[in-house]
Amino acid sequence: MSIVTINGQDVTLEDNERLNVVQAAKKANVEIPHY
Amino acid sequence: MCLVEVGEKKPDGTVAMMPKLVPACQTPAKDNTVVVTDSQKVKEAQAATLEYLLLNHPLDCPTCDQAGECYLQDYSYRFGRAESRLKEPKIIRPDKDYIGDQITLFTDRCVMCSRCVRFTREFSGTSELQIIDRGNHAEIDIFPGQPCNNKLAGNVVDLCPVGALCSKDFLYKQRVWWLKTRDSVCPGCSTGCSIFVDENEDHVYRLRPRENHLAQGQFMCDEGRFGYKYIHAEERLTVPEWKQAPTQTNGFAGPRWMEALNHVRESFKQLAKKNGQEIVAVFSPWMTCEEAYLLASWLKKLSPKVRLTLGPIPVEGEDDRYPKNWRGEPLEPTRFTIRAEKCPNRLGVAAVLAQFQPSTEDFSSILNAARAGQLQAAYVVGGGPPGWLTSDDVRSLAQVPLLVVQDILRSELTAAAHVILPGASFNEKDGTYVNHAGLAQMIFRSTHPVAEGYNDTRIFMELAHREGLFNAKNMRQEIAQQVSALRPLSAGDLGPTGVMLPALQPAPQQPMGAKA
Repeated sequence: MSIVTINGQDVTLEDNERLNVVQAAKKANVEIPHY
Repeated sequence: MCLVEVGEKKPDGTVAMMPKLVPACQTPAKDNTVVVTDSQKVKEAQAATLEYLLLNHPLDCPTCDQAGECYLQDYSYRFGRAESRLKEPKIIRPDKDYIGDQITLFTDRCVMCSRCVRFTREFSGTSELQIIDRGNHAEIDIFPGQPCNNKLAGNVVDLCPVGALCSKDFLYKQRVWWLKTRDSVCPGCSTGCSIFVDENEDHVYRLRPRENHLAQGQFMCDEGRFGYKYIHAEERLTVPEWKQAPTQTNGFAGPRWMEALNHVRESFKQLAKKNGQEIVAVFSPWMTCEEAYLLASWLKKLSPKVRLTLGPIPVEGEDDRYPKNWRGEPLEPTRFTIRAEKCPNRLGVAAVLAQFQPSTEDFSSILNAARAGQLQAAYVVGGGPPGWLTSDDVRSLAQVPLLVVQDILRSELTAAAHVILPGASFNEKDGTYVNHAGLAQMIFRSTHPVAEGYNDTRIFMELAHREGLFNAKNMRQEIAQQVSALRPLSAGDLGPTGVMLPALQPAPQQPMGAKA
């Protein structure tokens, strides 16, 4: 389990979750514009 | 566009940020990663990237199909600047009308995200699209004479975040903000792809895939995407008809329906009193579970001896699996399957029939009985695309003295019928479809039934003199109590992804690619 901080908000990721920062931010309801 | 500030939290609690912005889509989220997406530095980078993307982008939103669902439009509204600082003329590149039979490319709208290229390389495996030229001159293109015509090609239009790749089928038909969207299930094959139906003023303009990893994943095939056109065919039946019409028809729709339904109800009641064995009902695999349940329960109440059967199951070729290699051979692991069984609800209808009639009746035995003159009445329900029953089937059924056909299109079958009741297509009714894997999904009515407001469930409810209006949720709860295989429908509302029915799941196969 790992903890990522998005704009000061902590998001917990499971060990089997291999996310990039766009996806991790989505878990914190932060949208990063991307194509 | 996705540039953000990224840093790392050290064990002593301090945070070390990287000196430059990094692309968020390329940066893995690790333990102790610190991300900042709302600093001034990030906002300036987003605005600058958008300015670059818009340098050569034409200002043709008023004529662009994507306007209203365009990422570039939305992002420039939210993150961009109001005006362009470019003084030089924009690079104008010729449009490519023929990327595929269904796809056209507006070259200068492209923002070079390369999603379409990745899709054809990684998902369909057919690799028709690539980027040619470099820098400012980079373009999406095909190899000469190698158009993008694979069966999943329509998905690149959905994937395109801007109006560069457009569907020729939908081009300039509707502004997207007029479209009303309902969830549904594609009736094209037994995969049962979750879809959106986009409709305006009772006309369906397009089907789009809806993400559902229990059903198909994120995409849908072109056969389903463009194969719905029969629902707007001129051959659609709109009013009930019968051969021995009463002498007095006053031309009003309501009385016509009442007369037709009374005629069918009374005839079947009389015949069932004499001998239920001489009445058959042929169910189609396009019926919803609710319709099958209503028809079966009405007929079995008339007489338990009424014979129910599932009509022929259309099968075309073999399952078509993607991705493929350049020879067209499927590769493992399979990511998408277009199934050979071209109907949405064989399992659901069969489960209802099995409950009402423990010994299954074969369609060919019904045809034999019809040819031998052992039948007095037949109730045949269609509801799918044309060509369901063969001419031979129809000739046999035409021997029955009272043939009631409930279908959506005029065909050989309706020509042979004594009473024609116009039914509803998949977009005109609420109900439940069960796909090949035993996944029950809800479909919703997106347009009004063309048959003066009557759809199949209303017809069956009036025939059975059931009180009240049809409500799919309540009906699912009733079915769950009556049909053991469909017990998980008791929730009534199955949610956007549907509910698995353990009783209908096929036996587990050997995992694909496993060696014997």
